[in-house]
Amino acid sequence: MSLIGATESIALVESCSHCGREIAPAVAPAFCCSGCETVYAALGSCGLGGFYAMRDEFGARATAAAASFDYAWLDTDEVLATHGFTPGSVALRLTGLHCAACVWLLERLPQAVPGTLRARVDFGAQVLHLQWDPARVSLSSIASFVHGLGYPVQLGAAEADRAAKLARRRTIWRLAVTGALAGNTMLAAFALYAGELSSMDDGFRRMFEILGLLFAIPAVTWGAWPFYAGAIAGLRMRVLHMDLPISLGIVAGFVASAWATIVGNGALYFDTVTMLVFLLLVGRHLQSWGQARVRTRSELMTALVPPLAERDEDGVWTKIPSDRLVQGDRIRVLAGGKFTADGEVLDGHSHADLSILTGESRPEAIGPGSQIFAGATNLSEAVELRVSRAGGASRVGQIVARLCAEDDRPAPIVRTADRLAGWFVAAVLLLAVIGGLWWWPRSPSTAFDVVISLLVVSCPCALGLATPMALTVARARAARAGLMLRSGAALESLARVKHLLVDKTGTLTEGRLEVVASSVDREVEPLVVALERRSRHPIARALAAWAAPTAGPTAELEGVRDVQEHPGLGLEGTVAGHRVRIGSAQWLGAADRDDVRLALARARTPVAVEVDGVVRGVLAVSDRVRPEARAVLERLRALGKSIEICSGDHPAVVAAVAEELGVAGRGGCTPEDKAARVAQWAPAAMIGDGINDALAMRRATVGIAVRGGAEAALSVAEVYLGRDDLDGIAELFEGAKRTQHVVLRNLGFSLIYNAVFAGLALAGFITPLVAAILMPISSLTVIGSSFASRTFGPARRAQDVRPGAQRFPLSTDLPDAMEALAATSRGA
Amino acid sequence: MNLLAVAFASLVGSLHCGAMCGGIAACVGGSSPAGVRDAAGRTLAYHTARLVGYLVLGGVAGLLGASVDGFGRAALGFANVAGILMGVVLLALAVRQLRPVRARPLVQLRTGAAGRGAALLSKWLPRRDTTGAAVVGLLTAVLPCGWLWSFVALAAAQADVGGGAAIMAAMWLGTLPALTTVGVGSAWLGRALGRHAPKITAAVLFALAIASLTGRLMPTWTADEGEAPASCH
Repeated sequence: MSLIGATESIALVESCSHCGREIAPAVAPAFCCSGCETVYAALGSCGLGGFYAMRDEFGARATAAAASFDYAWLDTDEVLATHGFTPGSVALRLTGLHCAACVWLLERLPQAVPGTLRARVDFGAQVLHLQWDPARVSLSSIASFVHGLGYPVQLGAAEADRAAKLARRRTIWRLAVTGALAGNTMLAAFALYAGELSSMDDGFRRMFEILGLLFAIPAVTWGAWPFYAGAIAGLRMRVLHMDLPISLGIVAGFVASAWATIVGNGALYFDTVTMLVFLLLVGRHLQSWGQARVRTRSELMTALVPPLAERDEDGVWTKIPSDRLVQGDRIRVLAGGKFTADGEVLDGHSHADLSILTGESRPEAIGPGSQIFAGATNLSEAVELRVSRAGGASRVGQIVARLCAEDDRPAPIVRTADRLAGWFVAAVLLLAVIGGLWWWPRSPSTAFDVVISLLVVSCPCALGLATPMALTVARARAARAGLMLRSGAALESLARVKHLLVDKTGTLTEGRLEVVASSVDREVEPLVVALERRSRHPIARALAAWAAPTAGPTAELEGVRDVQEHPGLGLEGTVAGHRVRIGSAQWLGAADRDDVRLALARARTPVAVEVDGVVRGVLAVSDRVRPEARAVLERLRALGKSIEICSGDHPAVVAAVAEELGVAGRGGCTPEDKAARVAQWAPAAMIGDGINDALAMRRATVGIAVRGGAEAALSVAEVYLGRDDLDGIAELFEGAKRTQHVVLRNLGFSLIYNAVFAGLALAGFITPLVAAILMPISSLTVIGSSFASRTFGPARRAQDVRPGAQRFPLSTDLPDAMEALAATSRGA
Repeated sequence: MNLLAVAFASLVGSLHCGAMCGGIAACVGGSSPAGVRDAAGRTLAYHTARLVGYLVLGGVAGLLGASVDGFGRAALGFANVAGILMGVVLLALAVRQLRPVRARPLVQLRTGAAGRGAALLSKWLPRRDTTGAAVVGLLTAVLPCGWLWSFVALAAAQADVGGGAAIMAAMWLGTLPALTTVGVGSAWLGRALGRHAPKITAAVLFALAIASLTGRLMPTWTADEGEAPASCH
């Protein structure tokens, strides 16, 4: 026996050195009672003290899961940097997410853990996007808290895959064992039922009752653990989780039956309770499977980039998942297919449609050396390319990441579940108490059935799923149709919008402006070209392109400085020592000139040129109205939207186009005017150029960008049209309306389901087993309904073609005078 | 049958047994060059001897309880005195579970009953044979263990030799799962539930105390005025 002798080994302990019970701090070894002291001394004195080391070693292995609570390694900046994160923002991979309730619970982290700024769950990818203040809380503390709620945390994909595999295996084991236990409990119950009819011996009856109890114990403890974990996690977050009623139902059933078995009097429900646990587990598994189909980031990626790529593996083209491609891989894209990664063309000549990224549908010729991006469509011939970036690192991958990260409005899943779940669970618990009290004096066994059935059948999962499910599926479908939405909430806003403000140039018109008449002196043209080349405005590009052939080498004038752009007015700068201003006639005080009046009379945009304070002429700029514009506006009007063209162009030109299209028009609007107008009309949508109409788009209920690069457009607008036709706008609103119908249908179904079946359960018409079967069916119905609804997509587009409502040949209605003026211009 | 309730209570609280006697059971039943059959034999001997020890303890306690009851009936004029007394003892033990525990340093071992018990155990534990295992099993029945003596108190409350022995048999049955998954399982459970173990134990003791005070654990044959005892199996 080793007593305390060596002072250097003195250590304080706070638990019994033998049994581990908590004790007051004392010098080790110390004990809680003389029994422990006796055994400890006996083991030590006969050389069996190694037992403690062995116990601790095995104990440590057995508690490996608990040990993973220690996430101190996450607090190392190098670890975060390895995975591409910085302190303050991280994407943690989770295991254990199984339904909307988990998402709802985890997104409340900022309320539960001080210092957590934002928590968003990507259910499909099983990822928690977290922002926190490192000065107030460590990431390891948050991770430990999340783990404690029942969601183990990983950082790397490989570890997450491993954990997910283990979790799947555990789920299947739980299902299998609980199923077997439920089956055996049923057998014992059948024997008891049969015994009642054939006067079974008391000894046998007792044996079957105890067998039922023994089978039920693991089923209601280990089998039903996921439900208890959910309920406990909810209580820790101080919310009423939807697993709470279920857990109460299971525990109540088991305790009542166990008590009846012990005292030998009362009804037994072991068969019901174990089968209930089994069916609930099956239901949860099905729900999980169904909801995993709803992906946010991954679904959006799949919508934009094919999931499989053809990679050259030693001369053999092998299909592999696109996100497994790495830099340097040689891949092949056949004609008509989409590029699966960013890269450089190595072999083959073709044309590519880059509209998903640029909004420009004109095919771009590509050949060896051309750079191409994932998501673009290969139009004519097969090409081979070397991968430079793939998956999330590709340009489109980064856009999708941004779409998900910038979804900063409260997720619909949170708003809906937040509103409903807490009250719902409280209401169900109250109803269960009332139902139990009502039925108990009449029939205790019916009271039991009523309470359990009500607690189980009234699961609010279907309610919580109704909105987010429909919105997420619709968002992915919209992306596939070339309509990229920055958030699912944008769909709700689109359906709410009553007024549409539409920009003219580049939106209703083709945006390919050309100068069709000019009264500018030839010697001024080089100055025009030199200045306009400094701007990216469509009119500037048209002017530069028009004058370039005649401007000659002087177009590259040196000394262009002090360039200043006046949104909605024009451009000014100093060119070769001359102060040049180019812009609207009104801005330059040239509104009364004859050439200005002539251009306006012919619905052209007059652009005046002033050099050193003297107006040196006017250019008439024209833009063709898109052929589909009229039909699209008609479709929008049919949806009950009022439309107004709001443009910085001259009022006369805007009025002419508006009349052409049969809508109201307002010209001469500055960006501020547009923003004020859209705010005045709220809820209103602003449809326009992603850059020039940025202010109005930000102020609008929904901003819809129809031109420009996807990245830039989505930084100001909620919606980006990745295609070069206006039909997308009509599809967008029609799809949003259909989505709203799906949302309402789902919500209606969920409410009716809950009201009807809760009523039937209260009336005693539903047994707990039927309730357990109905519960997942309700959620699966909502999932199925969302997937079955063709909110966006080609099939829907084909249906929407109404005779005479589309492809209105606007171009043929252009005034002949315009053609004549164009001819004059060409002659000049 | 009330014995089932006692076995259930013992099972719920047997976390303590695993932590307390897990080490002994692991050493007694541990593998040896003689093989699995030998280990099984030792384990059987250990648990059987433990049962015998408990039965004797329960019988003696029941006898003492009957004496107390008889004295109470004669001197005080009411029955179930033992039940009430033991109920109070159990309540006190339950409350004690919830109070903070003062540490006992090992140095006290040199003297007292604990020292003698340790000496006896250390004599028989290393033998690793059936006889040694049986002796250790018997010694387990006299360990200064609060949990064990709570059930002895309950046995005394029966005020009947057979009833007391039956209570201890039920208690033994409840400890079997914990002591057959000795060492590893109990260590893990101890760590996982360690903080809550005293509360669980207190809850069980409290329930048993109430049952004892209200006479709910009286042997069936006593309650039914002298009918033959019914087998629990």
